[in-house]
Amino acid sequence: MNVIEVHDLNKRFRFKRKQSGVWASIRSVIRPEIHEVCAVKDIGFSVSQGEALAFIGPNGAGKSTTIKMLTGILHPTSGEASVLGFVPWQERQRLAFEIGSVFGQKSQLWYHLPPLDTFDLLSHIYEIDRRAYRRRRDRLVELFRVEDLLKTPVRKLSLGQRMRCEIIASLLHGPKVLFLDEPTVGLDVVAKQRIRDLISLLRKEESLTIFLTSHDAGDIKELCRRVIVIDRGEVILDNEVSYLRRRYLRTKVIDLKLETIPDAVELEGVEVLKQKGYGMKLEVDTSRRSIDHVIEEIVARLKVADITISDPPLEEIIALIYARGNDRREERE
Amino acid sequence: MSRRWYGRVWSNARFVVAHLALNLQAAMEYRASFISQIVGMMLNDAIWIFFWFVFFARFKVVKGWEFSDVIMLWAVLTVAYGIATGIFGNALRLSKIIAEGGLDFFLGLPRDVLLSVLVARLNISALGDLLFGLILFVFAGTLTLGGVALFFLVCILAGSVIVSWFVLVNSLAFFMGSSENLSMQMLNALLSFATYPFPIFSGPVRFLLFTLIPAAFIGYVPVMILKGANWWFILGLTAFAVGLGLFARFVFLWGLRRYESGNLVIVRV
Amino acid sequence: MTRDSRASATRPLASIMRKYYEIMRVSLQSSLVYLYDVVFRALFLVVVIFIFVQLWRTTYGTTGSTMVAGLTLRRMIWYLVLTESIILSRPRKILEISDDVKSGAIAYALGKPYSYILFHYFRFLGETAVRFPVNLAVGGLIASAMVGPMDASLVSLPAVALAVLAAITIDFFLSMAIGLLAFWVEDTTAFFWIYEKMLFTIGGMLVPLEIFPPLLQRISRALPFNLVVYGPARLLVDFSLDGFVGLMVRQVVWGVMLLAVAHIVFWFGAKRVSIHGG
Repeated sequence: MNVIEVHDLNKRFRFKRKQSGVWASIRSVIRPEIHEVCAVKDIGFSVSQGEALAFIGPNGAGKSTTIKMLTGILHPTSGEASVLGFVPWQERQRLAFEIGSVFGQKSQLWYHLPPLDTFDLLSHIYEIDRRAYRRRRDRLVELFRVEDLLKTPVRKLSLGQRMRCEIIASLLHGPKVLFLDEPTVGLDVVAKQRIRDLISLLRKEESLTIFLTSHDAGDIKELCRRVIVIDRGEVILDNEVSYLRRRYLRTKVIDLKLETIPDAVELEGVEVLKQKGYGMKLEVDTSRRSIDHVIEEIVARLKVADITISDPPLEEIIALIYARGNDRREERE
Repeated sequence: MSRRWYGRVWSNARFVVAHLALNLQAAMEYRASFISQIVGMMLNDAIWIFFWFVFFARFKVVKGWEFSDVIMLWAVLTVAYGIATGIFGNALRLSKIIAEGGLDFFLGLPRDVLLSVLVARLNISALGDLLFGLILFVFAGTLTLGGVALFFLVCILAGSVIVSWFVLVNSLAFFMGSSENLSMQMLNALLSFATYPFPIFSGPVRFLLFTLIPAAFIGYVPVMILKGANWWFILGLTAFAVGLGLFARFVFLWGLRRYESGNLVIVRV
Repeated sequence: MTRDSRASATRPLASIMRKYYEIMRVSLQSSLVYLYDVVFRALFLVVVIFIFVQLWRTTYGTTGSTMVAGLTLRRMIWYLVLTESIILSRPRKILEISDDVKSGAIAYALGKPYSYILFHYFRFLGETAVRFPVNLAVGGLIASAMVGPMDASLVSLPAVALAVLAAITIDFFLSMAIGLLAFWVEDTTAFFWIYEKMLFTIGGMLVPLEIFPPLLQRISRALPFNLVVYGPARLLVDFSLDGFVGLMVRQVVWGVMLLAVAHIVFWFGAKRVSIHGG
């Protein structure tokens, strides 16, 4: 069953533009130039219940605009969408009871009060039955291990602690869809991992649908199976995260530790990424040469102490996809 | 480095003018905001003139002060304040900058710290004050060469007193940590006392207005100079402006030694 | 798709009222955290009332009469204590709302199951419930020390309290409507100033309307600003049942009208939201 359906969604913004310089400033005061940008262009996709979707793209690609349309905040210029059977911009308030959102950059906790006070307030805002609220709150508090933080004013919490409370705040009313916008931004490695573990746990237990935007490849890898890449308002890829690797991974990385310092190495289909002392880092284009052959040749030619073969990190794959999007556009233009 | 003093003055003047130009340019980036802040401030001032108009329509003279005197008072105050916070926009926010460790950036510049921080920001609404004051002066002032020169002289002196006072009270932040509230109260007190006819205050308060809260020097004394041009008043105002300026600078630099830099974590509210 | 009963249009009124009551309570709690700041800021009133006592004592002395605009010096000062307390207790709602609009933060509030306008109204009540009593106490203390305690009948106080509540409600809806203009205007700071200065002058913060020339008096009485400031203050120092009823009627009529205006502006604004998203 599809929880989110989007067809041919468009959103255009108008804004002012000016050139630099004093005169241009004065001119822009008198007669501004109005430009129009297409933030979201004919996008379409669907998300089924319990699915975890990563919605990614470079800055300014139209991610937030899309989320804002799906939560009913923005009216689209044209197109259709439904979330849990509601048309978001027409039935925003009703939809609000059914979805939750966590914006890493925007807090919903009252800054000077302990999180518990905000939780209580939210329980009234979402009109949750008292007993059900307390049960749910206690469960989430236990799960997120924030028992000791509940009575501390938010301003005294660390970012990681606050983020856990933010997520609880957005889950109190038992939403069916959770929108996460950069939930781990600014967190350290341990805190990030903790947030990810909790989100995946909740997804499994409550068959919560997750709609995630993030620049952090770790978030995507660990939370989502599917990924939609959007660039300049258009969907340029919609597939499984594992497909990303298969489709875009034409390369492998080989790390070598050698027993002697080698002379210059030249192998067919292999690029030397880094060479320093006894260490060496190679990239193999697997479409040109199979990895087995390359390794055979290396072992034959060099005295190898240690060898590691790995995929390039997800960040690089994503960067590659963005770059190809650019190439395609340039070709068209 | 043995540059002549006028070389330094010239270089600093160019520094100030460059900032002013850049700030103006940045301000005009926001078209409606720029215009509305200026017009808004002018209306704001106009409404106080309106108050005095209503007041004097009913009571004519209060202790020798007439409506025209209050107009002159407002002309001086708005032009002085406009010049002061227009060029030295950060004078208003100095305590916040100090408390939040914002001086770090300015300490890294190859310039006088106090001057750098003060000119880094333009108070756009100050342009509204300036314009308003000039209009008042055109209607109420003496439009001779000497009259105009004298007006600008007293405005610059009063403006200098305002900036010095702001620097002085904001420097409390070096000694007290976050002193924003206290500084703001002191600024408001100075301006509030200055906008009323001086003679309504009784003896001890008058003494206070010449000393602890030097409102008399930005309102009463300039108006008296414009009305009578008594040389002693001019001399007194000049001496006070220079003295307060030096004192403010001394206190700021003294406080700077206790500056704790930017260990403040910027919280996201 | 099964829709939860909460999402249906017929939600129990009690739970909706409870929701806004809780918003007010939390806002009050949050404001109490800054109680020290509030008290400190109220000290500005000491300066203001002090200057006013000087000005009016001189003025009463000049005119040689004990009454100006039907008020003794003492009552004139108490009139100003109440007007200044109302003005200084106002949170800067116009700027807050327009910041919300400009930063796009209003978007997050749109995604919540409450009315944006009512959320802010109850939040505003919570904030004012801390500031107003503090300001009134500080202003009252300095006035009592300089010209003597308030000498009007205490029976009128509940009526005055009600008038103050109506006054700040009108102020809120006006501020909300003006703040929401940020949907169309880049910067509402100028409106904020103008509105504030309207309250200061023809609203009657600086002088009672009776001192105005007749024409201006008529204009002022026709506009809603005097209902925010002059109305309750005049009631405090010059109470009459007729005056109270008359004020209440005007306050309620204007209040309802401004409530409608704020909602209409919001409705048009929300329709053309253009948050700069990425």
